[in-house]
Amino acid sequence: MTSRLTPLRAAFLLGLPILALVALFVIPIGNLLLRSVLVPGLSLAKYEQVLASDTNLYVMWLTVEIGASVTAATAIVGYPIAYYLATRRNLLTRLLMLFVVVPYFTSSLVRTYAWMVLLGNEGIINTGLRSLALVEGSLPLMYNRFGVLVGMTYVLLPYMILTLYAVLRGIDFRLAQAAESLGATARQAFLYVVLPLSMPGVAGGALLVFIVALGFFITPALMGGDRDMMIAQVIDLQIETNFDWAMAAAVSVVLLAVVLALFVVYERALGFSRLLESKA
Amino acid sequence: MTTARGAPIVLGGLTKRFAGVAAVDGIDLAVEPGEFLTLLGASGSGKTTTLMMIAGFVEPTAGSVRIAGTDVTPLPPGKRDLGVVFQSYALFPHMTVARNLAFPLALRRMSRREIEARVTRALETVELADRRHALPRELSGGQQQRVALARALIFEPRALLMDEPLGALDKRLRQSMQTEIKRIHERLGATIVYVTHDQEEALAMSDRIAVMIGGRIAQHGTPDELYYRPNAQPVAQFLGESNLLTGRVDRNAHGDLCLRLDGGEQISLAADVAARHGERRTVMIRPEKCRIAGDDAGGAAPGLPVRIDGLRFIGHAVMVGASRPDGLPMLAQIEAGPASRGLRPGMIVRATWDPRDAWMLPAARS
Repeated sequence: MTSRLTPLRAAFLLGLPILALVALFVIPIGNLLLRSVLVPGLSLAKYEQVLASDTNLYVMWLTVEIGASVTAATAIVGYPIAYYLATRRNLLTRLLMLFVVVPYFTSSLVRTYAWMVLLGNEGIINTGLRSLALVEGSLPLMYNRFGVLVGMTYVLLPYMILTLYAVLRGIDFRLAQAAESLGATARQAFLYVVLPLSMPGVAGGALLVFIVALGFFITPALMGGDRDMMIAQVIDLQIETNFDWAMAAAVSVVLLAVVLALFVVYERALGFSRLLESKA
Repeated sequence: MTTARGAPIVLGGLTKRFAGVAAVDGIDLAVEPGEFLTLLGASGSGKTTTLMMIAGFVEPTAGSVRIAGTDVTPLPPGKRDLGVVFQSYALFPHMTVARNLAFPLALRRMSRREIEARVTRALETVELADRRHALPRELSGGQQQRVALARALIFEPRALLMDEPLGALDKRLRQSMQTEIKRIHERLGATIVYVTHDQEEALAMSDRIAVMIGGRIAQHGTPDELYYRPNAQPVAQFLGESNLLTGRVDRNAHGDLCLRLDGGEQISLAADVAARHGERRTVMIRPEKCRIAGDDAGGAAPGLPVRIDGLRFIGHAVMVGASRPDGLPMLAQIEAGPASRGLRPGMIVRATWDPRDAWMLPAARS
């Protein structure tokens, strides 16, 4: 099975991916770090500025809050869908799978505009409600927190569903039968057997959604109000308006640090890697 | 694990149709309290579907399941109070051995002390006391099997259902587990419905066997009855090796009933055989009831001239494969010894048997 590798071949085979890693990750991130501390001269002045600004801290908090809400929403909406997809095989599941995957291939800009068509003051929902005389004027469905959460949940839902689906498909559902034969109701069998076994999927999906959500730009920019700004918008502001690359870099590094810190907390609290090995 | 004597299980007209095709076709069967009954059949014979209907995982299209006199057909699996051992063991991978065993007890809201005591006792019974904190995947196949068995028994179910529980084990382990299950059955007196496709396993363990063919019970009875007195050709062929001889019932020179084979040979029948002159019937002779004699043994003993095709040494005996004059195979299992050593492929010998060992299959109902 294993063929012998000459040191030269080994160096070549390993060298390519290492080179790619350096070129694509180490250099840009290193560049970012350098920019944040080198301008002007070697100092942490920009970080002081970032952390001294109440606005920045508030937006950072908002970002984490929105990210966590979206993560919870995708888990709550995604779990039943993934469960249905994983446990049944019929025309509906094939169709449903298509509905999950196709948006995944579509630009999130297009998908965000699609929601704006639905949720706007002259959107389908408000005009529909008005024509039924259920509301006067319009419901505030967009340019607020609600709009941001709906838009982001929708865009990020496939990540959660596909991760959960993969894990749920790997679960032996005869275990649920076994639980029932031991006296469990269908609900108890799910609660004590299937749900714990699917936790790696929930944890993995949540981590994926949360991290992607923290860096979201398009949806909050288009669907949010003034009070729903996310950190990516701050970074954009620094570059596009203030031309302050060092400031943008410093904010990015703080965001990176927050993500890493949260990951460590997550790991400690939920034992993410332990869950992945399902050793719970 | 001190189960009260098991409950009787009665199946009445139990039927399951999948897309119009009957997988199980009107089964009537009464399992006695404390009986070890095996559903034996090839894959697709409906044996597992039948078991799953008793367990409550498959809803019957028609018919009923009664346990201890109560109709449980509408009840979900959890309310039937039956222990089920699955072929895949179905141990909960995220729980330790002790927590797997405690699961059915916790569902029944037993006190912690009671649960602890029962788990300890169960682990001692299956000799796994030192593995209580292990996870299922840290156990060997045989150990997992024992945990599955202990978990199915720990809540003292009214009966135990086992779906090919030894299918995943290697041959040696399978035999020791057979003994183990038999031992536990005898000690607890539980009613057991056991599903297998392995006829040796069925013969070795069961009080009674129901042979399933095409969704129906072809025959049920004790292992001895099924082996030596099968009621139909498929049953005879399913259980062990058999020689089947078909011909027309006739009278010999002495006026006794005999069977004239299609090839023209005539074989004697037992004096008390129930057959009518002129009927077309089949007799079955088990290879171990067959002897091999030199061709000069004379025509007096019932038997047939056969040509040896091959010999297979199986330790205590030799299996002689031969061909009858009509070309059909004839198997004889004879003691290994001087007589067997003289046999060579190609020799013409005489296969003989005691007419009382030739079991005549009942006439086919038309």
